[in-house]
Amino acid sequence: MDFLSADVLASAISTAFLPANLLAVALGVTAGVILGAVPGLSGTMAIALMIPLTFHWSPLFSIAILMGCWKGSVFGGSISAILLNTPGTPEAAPTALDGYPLSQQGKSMQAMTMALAASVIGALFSDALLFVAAPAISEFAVTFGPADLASLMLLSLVIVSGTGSRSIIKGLMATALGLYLGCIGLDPLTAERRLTFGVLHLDQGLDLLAMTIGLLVLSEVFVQMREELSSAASAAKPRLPLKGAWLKLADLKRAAGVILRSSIIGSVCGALPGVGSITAAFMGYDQARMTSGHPETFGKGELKGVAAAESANNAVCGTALVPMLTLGIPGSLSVAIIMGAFMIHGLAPGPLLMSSEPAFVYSLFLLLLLSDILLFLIPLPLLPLAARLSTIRRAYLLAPIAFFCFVGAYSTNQSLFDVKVMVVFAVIGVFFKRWGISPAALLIAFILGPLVENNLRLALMLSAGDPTVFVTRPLSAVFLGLAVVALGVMTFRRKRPAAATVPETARD
Amino acid sequence: MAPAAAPPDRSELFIGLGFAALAGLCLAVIPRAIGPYGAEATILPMIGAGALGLFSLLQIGAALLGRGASDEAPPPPLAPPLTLAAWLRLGAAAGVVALSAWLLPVLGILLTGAAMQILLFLLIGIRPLPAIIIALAVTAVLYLAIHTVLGVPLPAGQLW
Repeated sequence: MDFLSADVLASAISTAFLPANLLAVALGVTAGVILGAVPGLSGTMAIALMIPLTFHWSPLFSIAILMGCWKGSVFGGSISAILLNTPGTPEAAPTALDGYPLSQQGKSMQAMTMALAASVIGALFSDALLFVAAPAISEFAVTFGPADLASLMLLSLVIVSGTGSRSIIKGLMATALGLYLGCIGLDPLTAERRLTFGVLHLDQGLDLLAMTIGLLVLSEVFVQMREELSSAASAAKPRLPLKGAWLKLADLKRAAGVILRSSIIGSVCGALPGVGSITAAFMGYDQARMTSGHPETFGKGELKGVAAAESANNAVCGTALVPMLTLGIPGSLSVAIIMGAFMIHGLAPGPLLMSSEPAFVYSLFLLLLLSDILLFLIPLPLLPLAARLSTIRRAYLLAPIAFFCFVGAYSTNQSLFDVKVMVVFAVIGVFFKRWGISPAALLIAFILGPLVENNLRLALMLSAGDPTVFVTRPLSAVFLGLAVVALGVMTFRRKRPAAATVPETARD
Repeated sequence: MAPAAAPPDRSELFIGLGFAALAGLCLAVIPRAIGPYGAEATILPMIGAGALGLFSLLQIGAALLGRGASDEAPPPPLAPPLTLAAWLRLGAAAGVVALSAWLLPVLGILLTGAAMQILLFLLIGIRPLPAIIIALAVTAVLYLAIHTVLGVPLPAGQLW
């Protein structure tokens, strides 16, 4: 099956390069850079807050904005990491290790432009891989039966459970709760009311966006409010000025190998469910340090350290879409929210998306490549503004963000009930963060739950109720075996990866 | 010499007990919350609630053995402890947000949004004049941008 015919390509090009869609990417990147620069506002939060603005726009325009916002925020996090030693987003944490010392040496502009160049190269590399890998995997995935898909989703749930939370058991508890909450509403096959308790608002289930905003954003408002109210609330950190020479081509050439290796690491991490950009950034940084002839220079203002972290965390964005677009599996929280946006706009990510909407998918690919170019052009004039915004006192942001949460939760269905759902999940989110439980596991299980159920029941119907179908089909058996292995590895692993060292409040 | 047994981890135990109670509740409501024609419809809720119960029992067991954090990294550093006044402010802020959700149908988004922001600003420690100015400006700008320009419907209350 060849998804890319001449007609499809022509249609994709003509759609992608409509001025409105170009504007969407530019707006998304701009918003992402600014929001990402503000410490405490992660890329995931930025996407969740942007979704309500996109309801009345075309799907491509909306998804383009969100993807631009995500990429912009991943780079934007490096601005405050370099100037303030406070990562704007968690994936920028390793950027601060060398970026801030460079700023102290009066080379902030060099660090910033290196971060930008490495981000763009990493993102381009990842998007190129997406362009190549997604059609191939889609072609393979359409041969999957319901049993294979159910087992694959189970594998994803197991992997996602093992990341983000402070223990595998907590991750599994969050996943189980997400599966249960995903059952609320009309049964997908019999239209029987389930767990609605006579509340009509629950017939369509809990609203994903209201839950997401509550769990991730409004709960974070309270967590940060607590920090603001603590007696030792941090005074505004002095921001080092943007100064020094820009990056030279020779510097970029010197870091080319590091950037390439980190881009590969980031791309692989993106494609694997549950790994995410934070782990990618730390792994990219570590490989740069370990392969360097002068590892002692890392942490003291090594330009290659900035390049490695930034190329790795940006390289996650493109390939992270591969499992979502081809298999309908969101591997990270950001992608789960973007998948929610697909569904809000009537698109069903999964094996059939590329065959049913090839022009849309290729338009999206082209816009992603375009967003990489804009990611290089837009932040340069924005740097002084973003640098200034990065020092804004958090207390001034929390109340407006809370207000924006209300607007966002209401907007999906124009339902006041959803606003209450958001508040309830904000409370749950606060406790989850306090207890070290990943909201990502809950949200991804909530999204995948109905898909798992449909495929599970369909597989049982096709096999006349024979449950052995899950182990007699080779692919399904492989996925189930991998799920058992993954569970075993995560259970007996004693130490968490480096990503565990970043604040949990904004983990992807 | 064998290492001394680790003492039970009380906070981890509390988490496990809380989730076990939740799992029990989830299981108990399934027969009453799913209609007579939905035998198949109970499969996934049962799996979800059952798994929640099983994992919460594992959590309890791990906490009792003092292994609640066995595969954990050190927890992230918490913010410094709050004074009683700060706790009261935080509780009041949570109350303001919850109350706003319930007042939205009456007051509408403009009044509720502005009032909620002013109160939150004051509770965080922003001085009254900037609090009022910023809250009103943010409310107006967001309303114009989201409702008037983008056409996203926002809730109008009975009073406004």
